[in-house]
Amino acid sequence: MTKKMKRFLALSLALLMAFAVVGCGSTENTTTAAPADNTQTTAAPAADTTTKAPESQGTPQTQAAGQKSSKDTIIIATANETPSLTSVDHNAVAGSYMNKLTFSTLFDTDMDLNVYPSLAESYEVSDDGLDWTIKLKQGVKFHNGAEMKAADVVRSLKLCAESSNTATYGTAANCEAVDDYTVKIHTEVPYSGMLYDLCHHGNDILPADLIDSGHNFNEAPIGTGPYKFVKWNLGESLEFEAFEDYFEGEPPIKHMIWKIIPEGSSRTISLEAGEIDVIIEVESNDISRLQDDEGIDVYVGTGTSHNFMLCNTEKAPFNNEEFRIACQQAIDKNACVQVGQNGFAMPCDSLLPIVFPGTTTDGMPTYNPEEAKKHLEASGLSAAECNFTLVCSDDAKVRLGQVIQSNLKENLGIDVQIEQQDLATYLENSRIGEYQAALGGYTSSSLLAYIKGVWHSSNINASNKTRTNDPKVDAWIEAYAASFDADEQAKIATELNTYLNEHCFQIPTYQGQVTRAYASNLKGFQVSASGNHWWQYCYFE
Amino acid sequence: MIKFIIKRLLALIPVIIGVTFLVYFIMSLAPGDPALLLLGEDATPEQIADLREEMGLDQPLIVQYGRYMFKLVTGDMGTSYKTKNAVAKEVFSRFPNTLILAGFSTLVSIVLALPLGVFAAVKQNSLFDTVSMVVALLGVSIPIFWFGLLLILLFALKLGWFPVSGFDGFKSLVLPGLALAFQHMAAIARTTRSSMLETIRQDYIRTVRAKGLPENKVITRHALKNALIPTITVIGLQIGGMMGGSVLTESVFAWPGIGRLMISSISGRDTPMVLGCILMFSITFSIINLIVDIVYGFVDPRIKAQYK
Repeated sequence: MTKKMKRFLALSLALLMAFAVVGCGSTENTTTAAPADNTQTTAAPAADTTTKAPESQGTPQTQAAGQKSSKDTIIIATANETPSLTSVDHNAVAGSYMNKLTFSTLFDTDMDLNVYPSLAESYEVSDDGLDWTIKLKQGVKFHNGAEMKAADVVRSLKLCAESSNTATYGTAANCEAVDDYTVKIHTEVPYSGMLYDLCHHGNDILPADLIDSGHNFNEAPIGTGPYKFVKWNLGESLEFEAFEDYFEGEPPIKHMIWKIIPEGSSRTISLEAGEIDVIIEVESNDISRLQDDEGIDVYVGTGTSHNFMLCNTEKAPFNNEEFRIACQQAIDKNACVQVGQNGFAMPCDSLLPIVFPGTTTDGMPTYNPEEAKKHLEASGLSAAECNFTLVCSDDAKVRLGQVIQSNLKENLGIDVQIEQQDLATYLENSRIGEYQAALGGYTSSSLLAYIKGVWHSSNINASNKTRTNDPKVDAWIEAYAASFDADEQAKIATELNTYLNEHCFQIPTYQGQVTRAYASNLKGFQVSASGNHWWQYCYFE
Repeated sequence: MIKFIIKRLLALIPVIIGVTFLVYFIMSLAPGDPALLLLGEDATPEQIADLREEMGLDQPLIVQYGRYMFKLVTGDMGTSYKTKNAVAKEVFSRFPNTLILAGFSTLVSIVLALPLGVFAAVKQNSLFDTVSMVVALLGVSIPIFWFGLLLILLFALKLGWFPVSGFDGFKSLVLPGLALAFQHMAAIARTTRSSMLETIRQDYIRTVRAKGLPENKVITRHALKNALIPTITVIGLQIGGMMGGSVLTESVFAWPGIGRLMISSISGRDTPMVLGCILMFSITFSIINLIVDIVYGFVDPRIKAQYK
């Protein structure tokens, strides 16, 4: 080898090593299982019918009120930019985060997913369950200085029903102002989901005169929220400042910047470098690394996101109950969580999310390959009839799909073909039933919304993607919606859940976790199972 | 020359019509319903139908396209399905950022690639030649996404010289600019080298050397100028590539450019926004081609004489 060549090789190796050191330096300990103590959740009681709103144990901690923050600006990194700041013009989670800053709703959900009054002072429901009388807090100011009154509430609730994006939550549109601080809502049938609907961003309270004058809330969102909108740098960031007349007191942190950082690793490094204070969407690959950083706290808690292998019960082979049970018993949920979610999720064996009262794993056959073979035999299907196509709409789902593919091949000899479709295609095809099996999920902060959306036959061709059309299921859901008694609701939920589990209408895979990473000097940071934040209570130590 | 430029600019009209037609129909043929994406999974068929009507999606495709083109002629690029903002507002707020990134990267890649290519050719088969071509090979082989993250880890996290991401002054331009430039630099350097190698073997180069002209003048004044034609072509194509291919760099460095907007609009089936982005790319690409043709004329007077 010539001297020149040796020098060249040495130089090349040095360059490669330099890159390798940089590339690998911070990637140790990147895979660990989710902490077990974070998988426990508290059951949430259903909406109360007493005349005064209950004092919820899960009400977010408000000890920050009156606190001085050592830093007056908080920078939050998020993957997605809101499509709009107008609360009724979108259906996006990213948008609801922004709306939560500038607007408030009559009610809100707390850490335990209980409903508690926000702009409302108290409420009462008539004995027949058809009329809701809501007393409003007095002296609540909008960002433009005007006082919030019943007329604003009435106009806002009607606006929610008028907008195509939020009409689903516009159940309070039949309402009137009794006086300046009292609103009466009438429903045609008793509806226990009313308070949860009033928590939705579509029911944010806006000034009536601005709605009527055609004010552009996307450019100037004026509400009663803790932060006032300052600036939106499209594709880059959104800026807010504390509202000094916020009805719960001016937030301790005066300035807030939401930075749009689409790439997960860049968000992680930005937090490590101290350029940002909070990450909303934490990459599951990076959680362990962030947990090892002394200056960073990581929150991992059970979320309401329920994930499953959707089975089209109108199409073979999933129209065969024995076949579905065979699949359920042949799929190792722990492997699904480890591979699909890097260990940061909860294996799930229930067809309702296990965060709501009454939900249960009873009746659901568990992982047992030997039993699975017996069920497959009982299905009467030939080997060729069992093969199916599994639709996956992103990389994490493909990883999960590969576990299912391998499990079913190994345990039952079934060939599963994975088909990748983009989100738009998957949503459309699964809605109209043009699929055999698909990996999907559903997130809701109330059990009623979940069971109505996923299981009621009226939602076939919408969110009932298994196309379950069972009068018994519908009857349970309707009884749950009409009941205002928490114990009775829990009982119905248990019966429904057990029935769904026994018939295995789809294959549950895992329940998602809510993860957030933030600078450890940020205090008062709280996030609920549904991803609700209370930025107004945060401060820097 | 002016006549040539006007002719080329007029040729943009069929380009725009062709591009909009193709994109509009391809987007419409793609499965997935923008109304469903906006309303979410809970939407009933009735709600979806109502929104489709509101968005004009219930009309025949040709009518939708005709309406779009009529608006475009009057300077209206339409309204985004997703944000309900004017497409022009969204596109023009981001397009300058992509131009800045592509412009800076082009500059960096030219400044690095030209000397690298020239010296590699002049010192053919030397260690410098080998190293520079290995670097060029790395440039075209390393995924820009991974290279971007390495730059962030080294220069932002370890050394703290530059910000990790964002759009805040010159410092925030350096890392995304370098990441994007590295890939394109490789192609320019390799083209320059091969073109130079061909040129310096020409008879007229031997003649100027025989006349006793210093080697640096032989290279810069006589060889390089003639070797530049293919390099200019590649640079023109690379600028186009940088604009269209900037999406990964924009994602890694959270650069608020048009590439990211276009990709998210495609996933959201936001046809007016996709059309707005592609129109900007098409017009810019056509103008870059025009500039390349004009520059040819300055480099080689024989080509200039053909411009009528």
